[in-house]
Amino acid sequence: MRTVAVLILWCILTWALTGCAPSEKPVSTDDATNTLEVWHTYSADSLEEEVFETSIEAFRRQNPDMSVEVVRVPFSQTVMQFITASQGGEAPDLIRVADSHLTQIGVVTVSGVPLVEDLRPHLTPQQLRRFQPLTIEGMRMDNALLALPASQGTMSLLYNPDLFAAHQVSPPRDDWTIDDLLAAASAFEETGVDGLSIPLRWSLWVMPFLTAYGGDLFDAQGDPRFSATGFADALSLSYALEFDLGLVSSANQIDASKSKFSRGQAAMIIEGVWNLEDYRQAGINVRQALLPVHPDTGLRMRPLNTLIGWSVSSQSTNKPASVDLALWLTGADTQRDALNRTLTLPTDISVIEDAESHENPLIAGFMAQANHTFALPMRRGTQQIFLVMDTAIELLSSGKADPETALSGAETEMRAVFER
Amino acid sequence: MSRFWISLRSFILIVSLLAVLSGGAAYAQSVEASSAEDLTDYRRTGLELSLSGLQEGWSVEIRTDQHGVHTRIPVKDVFGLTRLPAEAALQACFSDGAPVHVDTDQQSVIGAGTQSLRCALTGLRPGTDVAVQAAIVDETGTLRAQSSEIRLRTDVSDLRLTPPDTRPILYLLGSILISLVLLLSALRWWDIRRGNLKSRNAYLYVGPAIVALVLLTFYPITYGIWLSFTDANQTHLGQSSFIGLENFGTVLMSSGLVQVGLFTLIWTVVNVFLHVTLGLLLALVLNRETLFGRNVYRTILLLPWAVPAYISVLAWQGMLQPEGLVNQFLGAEANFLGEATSARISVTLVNAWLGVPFMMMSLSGAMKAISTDMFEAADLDGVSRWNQFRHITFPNLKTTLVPLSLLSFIWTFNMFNTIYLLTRGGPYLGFGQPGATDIMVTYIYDVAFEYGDYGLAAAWSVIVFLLLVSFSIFYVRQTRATEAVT
Repeated sequence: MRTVAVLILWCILTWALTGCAPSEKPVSTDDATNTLEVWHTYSADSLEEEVFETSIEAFRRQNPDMSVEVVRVPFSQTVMQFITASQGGEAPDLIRVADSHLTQIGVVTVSGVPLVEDLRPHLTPQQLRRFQPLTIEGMRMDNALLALPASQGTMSLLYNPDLFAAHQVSPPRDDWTIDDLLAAASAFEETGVDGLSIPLRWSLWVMPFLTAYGGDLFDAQGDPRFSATGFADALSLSYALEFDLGLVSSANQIDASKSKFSRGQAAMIIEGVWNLEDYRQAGINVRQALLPVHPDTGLRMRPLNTLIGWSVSSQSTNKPASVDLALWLTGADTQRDALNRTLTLPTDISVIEDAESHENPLIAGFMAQANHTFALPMRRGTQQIFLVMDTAIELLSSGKADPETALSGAETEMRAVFER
Repeated sequence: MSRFWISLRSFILIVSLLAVLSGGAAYAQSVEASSAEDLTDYRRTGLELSLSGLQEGWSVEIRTDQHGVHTRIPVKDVFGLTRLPAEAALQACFSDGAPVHVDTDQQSVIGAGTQSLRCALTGLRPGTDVAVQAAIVDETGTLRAQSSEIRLRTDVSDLRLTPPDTRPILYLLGSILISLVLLLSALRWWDIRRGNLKSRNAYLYVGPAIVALVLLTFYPITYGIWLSFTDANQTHLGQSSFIGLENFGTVLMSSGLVQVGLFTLIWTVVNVFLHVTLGLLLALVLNRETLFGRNVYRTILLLPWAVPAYISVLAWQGMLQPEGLVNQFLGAEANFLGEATSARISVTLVNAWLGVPFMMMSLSGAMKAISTDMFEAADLDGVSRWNQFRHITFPNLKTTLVPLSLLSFIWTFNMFNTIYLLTRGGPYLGFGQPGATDIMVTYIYDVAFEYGDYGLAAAWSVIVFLLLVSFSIFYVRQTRATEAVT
């Protein structure tokens, strides 16, 4: 009995002693290392990864005293892996993030300190002036600049001119209205070719219609205004395209839409710049036109503009060098290389305005489209908009709600998400 | 002559006036730079400028030997332009105590009447002197005035994020480990005192298993339970505080609890039923000696189990798409995973397909253990096949069937992969509600990793844990499985 008592006492003592373990890790400011760890999210063996590695190699040559270690992480796992690594003190110095990632990472604090560095103290105003102002604003959260924008992405109207010629339909033009778009789609009925192939159950594709009918989805304060005039009409149109007019197939999921266009079974598609390479490889003739204008409101359909850039971790042991590398990776040379080799839209003003950048009509078209886009507010929970709007579309498609009710519910839910 | 002198004097006077005016104007353009040390922080310090003679179209430049042009502020008509909020103006200059104006491109601009500026000189390398000069430049780029060079520096060191200290946890794990070793040693010593000298190997055998269980199972469960009583949240990691039963209250009051609970129950019961009935049926068929090509069938039926589950599920996900194999076979374009009812049926059938082979193999093995004498005797007595199954096969399978069905219940209840990979819990038919195919574990995943609410997710997990423990105890007692085994 005495033995058990001693044992229990020992256990209590040792377990209690853990509370006496030092709780603060000493921080030295003089332990800056010459090794930078960089997490990127490019697909393995992709052209984008090749461009990135070329840029890193050039940085190594310019800075022989610096060592750069590159680690690939899955794009969809970026947020979780970065948060987990930061909690364990293993965060990389630099990480490639999308603006949607920042709305998640940007609100996380570990022991009261944000995960990523506010870059404003690290950069001069002149260094920031070389970026398109909207792309810099898209990387800010609560005034802090959380990343440097390296590229932007948007969707536009792509069409197959061979199909238009074969069926004697006038191809899309930049001054088209939505009525022109629907008339052209109708002209392909009974030809065995889909006029318009878009996955209308996904909010990303419905949002451009919403902006043409009702304007901005969020007000100047970043609050949702989905129940404003016009949005319900847009949702009704998306419903009619599928169910009443039959111009868009219910079966159009994202991959299905893409594969129809790739196989020459669809004349038009609303598609992202990031997929241009796939169509080029599929060997089909592709042209681009701006998304059309609403005939009454005069508002142009505006797709979402997404940004990808580089953030510096608050745990970086060499922040000045990390910022230098971020500047390098977002520099004009790197962006020009990415544009030429991978059709990646730049954020650097000198590259955007460079005449050479406009030689490829597809890229020139997408850069023109980038001027007619919208950005999501940089707030905690913003990324939930896709789930919220998808739910509204699902409620409408399944007949459980009319457009007004669905959008009103979506607005209420989005406000609740922001307040959560 | 006098008229000549008058004209000459007038000319000289006009020229002098012009000279004074133009010279005076040139003289009026000046810029002086001084340090504003109160703005010094990590990678930045302050600079104060006194300005005069600015004109619209010109600009004020701050140059450093590290950056070249550090800041360029155009001089413009600022009427109607707004100023940045003070908290947003970390990189902007201040004029008259307020941030300077910004134009439509959010670039800083100042008015021609600006006489002083206070700027944060950002982007400095800590501990390094930087030479700074300010200048006034006209629209053609010509230098109109330049300050003398001053040297500035910041020695403020980096405010680096220190990760939460994990050493207390390691100490805790270490002390638990040592305690366990001591406990086992004490128990062994106690056995020796009682005369049981043969127990040494027993302690050695169970020791590693107990240590692994405590460290890898009991500790995480205990930590999870602790987490459920805190406000642990993604926004303040490492700073959670005890909030009692609040998370459990939130779960129980949650409008999604009934929906997700009901579907989890249906999903589990239907799956276990399909696993057991189909597994049993196939085991019976494959156990018939007269069946031609039994091994081929058995191999084919084992394939879903042999292939990693996530690969099988992803294959099904492709086949169930509107353009997938299933639709091609049916000649339809149904969106199986996009509609609530069909999605629920699809995920259930795919999971049944995945689970049947395990049940079939286990029951098939158990059937082989039943003595053939009983069936031969039944045949002699003219007992029908059905009655042989009812009175011989099934009762003898009970000892295997009960733990198997219990395992199947627990596995299916917690089957994350199938639903997550097929539908991610969707389609969603209510705002802020679980998706149509969400079961508890997939919903908990969303709560934890989509909403970042770790405390609430832990409370959900504890409820799932309690449900499963209660069910297991109830099930084992009701079926008297342990008695049957012994």
